[in-house]
Amino acid sequence: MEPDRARALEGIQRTLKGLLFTETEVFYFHLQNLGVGRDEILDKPEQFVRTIHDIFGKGSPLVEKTIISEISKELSVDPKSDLVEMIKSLRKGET
Amino acid sequence: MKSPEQMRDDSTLAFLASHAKKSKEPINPVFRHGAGVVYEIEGVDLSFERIKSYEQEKLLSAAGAKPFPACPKCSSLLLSVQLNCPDCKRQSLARSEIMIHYECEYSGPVEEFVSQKDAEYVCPKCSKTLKRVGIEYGKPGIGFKCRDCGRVFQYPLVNITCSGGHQSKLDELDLKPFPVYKVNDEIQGFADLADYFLAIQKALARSGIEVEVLARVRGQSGVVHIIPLTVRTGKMQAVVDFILNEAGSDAKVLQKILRSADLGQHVALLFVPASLVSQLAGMVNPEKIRLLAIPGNDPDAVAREVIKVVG
Repeated sequence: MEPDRARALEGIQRTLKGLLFTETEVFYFHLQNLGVGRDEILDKPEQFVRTIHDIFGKGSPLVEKTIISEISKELSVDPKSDLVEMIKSLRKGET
Repeated sequence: MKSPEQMRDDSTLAFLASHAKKSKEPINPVFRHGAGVVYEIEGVDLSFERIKSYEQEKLLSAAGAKPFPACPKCSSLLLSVQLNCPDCKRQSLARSEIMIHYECEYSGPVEEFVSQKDAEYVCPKCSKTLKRVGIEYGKPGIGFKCRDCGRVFQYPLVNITCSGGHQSKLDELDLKPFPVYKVNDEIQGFADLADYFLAIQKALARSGIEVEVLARVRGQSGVVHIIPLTVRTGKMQAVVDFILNEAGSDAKVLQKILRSADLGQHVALLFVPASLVSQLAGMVNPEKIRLLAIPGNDPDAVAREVIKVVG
C-alpha cells in the first residue's frame, strides 16, 4: 500500500478507535457484514459511509465530521464536506 | 458513596471491581478463533485492547506472560496443523495401533493382521499365523500408515499453516507472549459504581421487577457486553445504561448507540446528566434509546424513572 493510502487508512481507523473505544470491534463486525473489511475502507467508501448511517443514524454526522477533520489534519489536506468524496479523493491522490 | 457524576461510567470496571472482591486469581490470556487473544473473567471475554487500556491506567498490572505459537512470517496466531507422510509428503494418513511380524518384517495397522476366520492374527504379507507376542510379532504402539504410498511410521511430518497461508515446520514457529494480569487495589475505587447499580437493582426488585445487575448480554457481533442493569417485565425487555458526567459525552453516546444496535431488540434507557438531555436527543433514535435525566444522587429515584417506562 502506498504511504499516503496507508496513513489515510490508519487515520480513519484511529479516529474510529478514539470515538468508539473498545466498541470498535463491534463496528468492524457490522462493516464486514456489509462486505467491507477494515482494510477495505478506502476501496469501498460508499458502503463504509452507509454502515455509519445505518448504525449511528442521527449521530452519523458527528462520526463523519470527526473522520474528515482528523484525516485532513493527518495528511495536511483540505477537508471536504462529504466523507465519501474525501475518501475518493485520497484514493485518487487528488489531494 | 460518591455522587453519580463523580463516578466513571464504565460498567466493565464495575464488573472487574466486583470480580476482584471475589477472586485474587490472575487473569490469563486465552486464544479464541475469530476473536484472537482475549481475557476471560467469569465467562466474559474482554478484548486485549480493553485490558491493555486498564493496564495503562494502572488498574491492572502484568504478573507474568503466556506465550502463544505464532506464524514466523506474519505473526498470525490462527494456525492449523497438518500431518504428512515423511516419504511422499501427502496427508492421507490413518492412525492406528501398529503391529510387526518379525520374520518377514511386515508392519502395518493391527486391523490388517486380524484373521476373518478365527481369533488369531495372520500376517497379510506372508499369510503365516502369528501366536506368540514378543517372539513372532510385536506391537510397538500407535503409529500412522500412509494410504497413498503404504509407508508405516511412528512420527509424521508436522506442518503448520497460518491464516495468511504461510507454511512452517513446528520448530520454526514463533512464540508471542501475552501478559498474565493481576488486579491492582486501585480497582476498588470502582466498587462504588457497582454498589450504585446494586442499589438501583434492589429498588427495582422491591417493586417486583426482574432485574439483573452487571448483566452479560451477547450482541449480534458475538461481543459480550456488560450492561449495568437489564430489566424484564411483561411489557418489555430493556437495558439500563448510564453516561454519568459530561466528559467525552459525544464519544460515549456513539458507543451507546453502537452497543444498542448490536443488542438488536432491547430498548435502552440511557440515563445522562440533565444538562445533556437536549444535546444528545438530536443524536439518538428515540425508539431504540430513551434518554432520561439522572434524578440526583438517589438510586431509588433512578428506579422510579425506570418503572415509569417499563412498569
